[in-house]
Amino acid sequence: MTANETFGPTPAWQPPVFATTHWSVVLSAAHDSHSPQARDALAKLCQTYWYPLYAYVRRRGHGAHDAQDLTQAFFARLLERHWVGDAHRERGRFRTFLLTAMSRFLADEWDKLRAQKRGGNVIHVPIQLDTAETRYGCEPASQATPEQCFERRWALTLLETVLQSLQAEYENEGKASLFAALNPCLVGDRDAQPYAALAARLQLSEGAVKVAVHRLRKRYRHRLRTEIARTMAEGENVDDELRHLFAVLAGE
Amino acid sequence: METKRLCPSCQKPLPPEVPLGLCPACLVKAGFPSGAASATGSAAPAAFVPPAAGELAELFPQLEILELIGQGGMGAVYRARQKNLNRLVALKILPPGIGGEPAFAQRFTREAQALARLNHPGIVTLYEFGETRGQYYFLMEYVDGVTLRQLLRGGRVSAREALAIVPQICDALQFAHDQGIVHRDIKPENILLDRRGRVKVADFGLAKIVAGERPENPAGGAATAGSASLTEAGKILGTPQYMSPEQIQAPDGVDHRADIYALGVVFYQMLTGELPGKTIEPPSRKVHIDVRLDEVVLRALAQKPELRYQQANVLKTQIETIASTPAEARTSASTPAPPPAAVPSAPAAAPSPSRPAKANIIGWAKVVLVLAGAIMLIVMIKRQSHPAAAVTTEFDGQMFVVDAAAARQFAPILPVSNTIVHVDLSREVFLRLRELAKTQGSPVSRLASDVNGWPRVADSWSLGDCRVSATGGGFLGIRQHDGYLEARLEYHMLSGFTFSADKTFASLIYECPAPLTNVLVFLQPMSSAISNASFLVLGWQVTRGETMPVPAYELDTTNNDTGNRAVAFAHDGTNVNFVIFTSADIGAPMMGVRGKDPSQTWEVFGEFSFPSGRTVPYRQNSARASHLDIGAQSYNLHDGSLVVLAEMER
Repeated sequence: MTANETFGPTPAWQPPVFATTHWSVVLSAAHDSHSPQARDALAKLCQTYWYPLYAYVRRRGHGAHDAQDLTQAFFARLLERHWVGDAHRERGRFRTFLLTAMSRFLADEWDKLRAQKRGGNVIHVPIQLDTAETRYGCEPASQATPEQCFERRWALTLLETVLQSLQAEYENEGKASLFAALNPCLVGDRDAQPYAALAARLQLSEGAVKVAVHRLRKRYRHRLRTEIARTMAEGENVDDELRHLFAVLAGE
Repeated sequence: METKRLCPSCQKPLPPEVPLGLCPACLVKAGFPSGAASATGSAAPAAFVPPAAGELAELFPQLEILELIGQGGMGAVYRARQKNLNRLVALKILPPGIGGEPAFAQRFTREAQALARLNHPGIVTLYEFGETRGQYYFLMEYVDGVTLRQLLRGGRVSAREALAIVPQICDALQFAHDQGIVHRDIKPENILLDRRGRVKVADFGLAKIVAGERPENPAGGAATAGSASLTEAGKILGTPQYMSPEQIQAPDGVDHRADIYALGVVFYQMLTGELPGKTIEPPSRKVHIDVRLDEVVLRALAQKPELRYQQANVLKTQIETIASTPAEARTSASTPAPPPAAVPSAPAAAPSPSRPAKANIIGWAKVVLVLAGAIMLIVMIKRQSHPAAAVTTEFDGQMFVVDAAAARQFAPILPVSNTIVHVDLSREVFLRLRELAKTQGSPVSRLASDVNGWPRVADSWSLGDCRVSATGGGFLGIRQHDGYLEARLEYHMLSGFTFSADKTFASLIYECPAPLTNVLVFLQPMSSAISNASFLVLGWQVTRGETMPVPAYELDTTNNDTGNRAVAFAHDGTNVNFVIFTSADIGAPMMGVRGKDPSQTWEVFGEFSFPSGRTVPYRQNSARASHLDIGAQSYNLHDGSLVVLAEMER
């Protein structure tokens, strides 16, 4: 480990620039409501990140039923690209865009939505809202503000997404048990993993375990950074977002 | 019973529902470019399982290993008795196999010898070190107390406490620095406070031989923290949040001023409850403290070592000067500074001179405000005779002052006439009885010699007959003072418990999903309720065993109510009071009191109003109340008074 690899305020390392990200595709097509790529990209983002927003709405005090309607309607509007074009200030990150757009939506659109509901005119977006309340029921009670709740849930959702995809990757390669055994090594110091114990357990040489852990961590890091990059506009710094996520999760 | 799991890497409690059971914060860290995760110093393998006390007996025949008192991913600390000297010691072991690298033994010995020369009352003494059958260990002074980290769990500590603690750290640092030893990993985990409030700095210089420091004594035991993986020169040692810029950039070249920076971070955190950000905001902009402290903190936190205090004792002198010459900002409510009172056994307190006879006046209620500036105010509020009547209560401005740290430690109050009984939630649970009028209490009854049965007592509630209930991780226990476990109940997200005076009702605070952050659950009757009952929830109805509560009572969301807490039964057992929270995003959390005859409908029966400038009545928006955190607990005394614990900044 060297100084410029430090997780600290002044990393010397610069992230690669991602040519295109989902969010940048969405932004670039902000004024083209017929771009299927943009619509797909946005739909994918929404499908991944709807839950933090739902938790935010619930924490704002809306009941389960209303929250589901609101979330649904919000994403429906979003996919119709009613607002993305206006997302000037929050363009950089999908995360901040979502939160700002939703709070605006709650302020402006709630009444309209209610009126619309009476008319039965609600477009449905394919998100798993039926699981929302079950998940929400597991949220720890806290004094967190709705915004903090959103940020935290966002970070967790991102990690879940990354780990699930990583796990799926290993499973596809027929290495599910390897992943199960090694995933605790994703956290903590690379040099201080219990390689010997794992080697005994997996009946591999210690060297082989070290290599496997190294690969796992590398793949994980790549997926995590890629996933974060998906939610950011081009040119945005992934490390900045990582630091933000860390602050959100580490702050008690 | 399930105890809260800690991340083996960073030692913070793992939130429920974490992906793959891994610590999310550490997972994010792992996303930094290669090696960065390990540079945090708090990273560690997940799999070090400390040996049971019995397994170590063979390795350490000279010791009687009593219990494991702390562990991290790469080390463990045990409380032990040194047989020949018959003294308690802390045994720290490093994970087996740690000495594999040839240079290690030499470095270990060299550093440990230097540490053994640090004899200072403010430094945890190293008695012995060595290696036995491949097992490296340190034998150290056992400190019976808490770590600063544990003290900080409730957020910040008062400025007064900080001013009592920091100079002691300075003393210890100065002593070590004079001997050429740099700590390199000053952080709250390494600062221990014994039961008399004395500071002991642990793990001096260990960062140099041992990397991957982490807090190690979660259960309130003593000992020294840290442990871990060995590291070569040039590796970054320490904990990033507390590391000076030069320690991050060039770890080899750090001098004692890195410790001064780290102390600055600790000081900042004590005052504000937060770590300094990229741009350091002066503490006085975050909390109401003496503005002169800003300068001290910011100077300790200077980016360049040459701009910092050059010696720890200069920092100490500055603090002492400030402490001894109170500024105007230090509030009219403050009383003569009590002796350093950072630990449970020393609840410093002082009554307000204007406090009148109070508790014997039936129909008065008291609101206890824990002020950030270290005092707790018990303020009288008048309440009409029948608590269910729709009345407005108001302050009469009488205050009663006790120490805030003590108040946090001794939160539960027993509703017995005009007496407050505190329950010490630290390692040993005991009752402390004190009349409201008195400043010092004396222990009256020991509840249990240890809390092993309830590791992680999250909270505790006193029952009317001197029994105490406590919860931890969804587990509720009711104990009598002999420690007999009378009842237990496991329930999802359970966090609180009270009884009506006649024992026919019990209330549980069920941490329900929002919009209610805390809601009340009734069990009736108490005896059968423990096993199977329908829970009538305040706001929600939930049947035991069912996952989701059904709304039974609407919070007034148009007024931004977000939840209720601080539940207490009225002394007659027929009514219940609780504090209503309102959303902070309209500018102010507010409080009110609602009551309910359990057989009747809910209604608001009263409101608190606070003295001008402090806070506001329920449902009146005011920016002034924006720092109010109300309702840690509330209690009904038998004289009909209501006591609500609240916390607010000055």
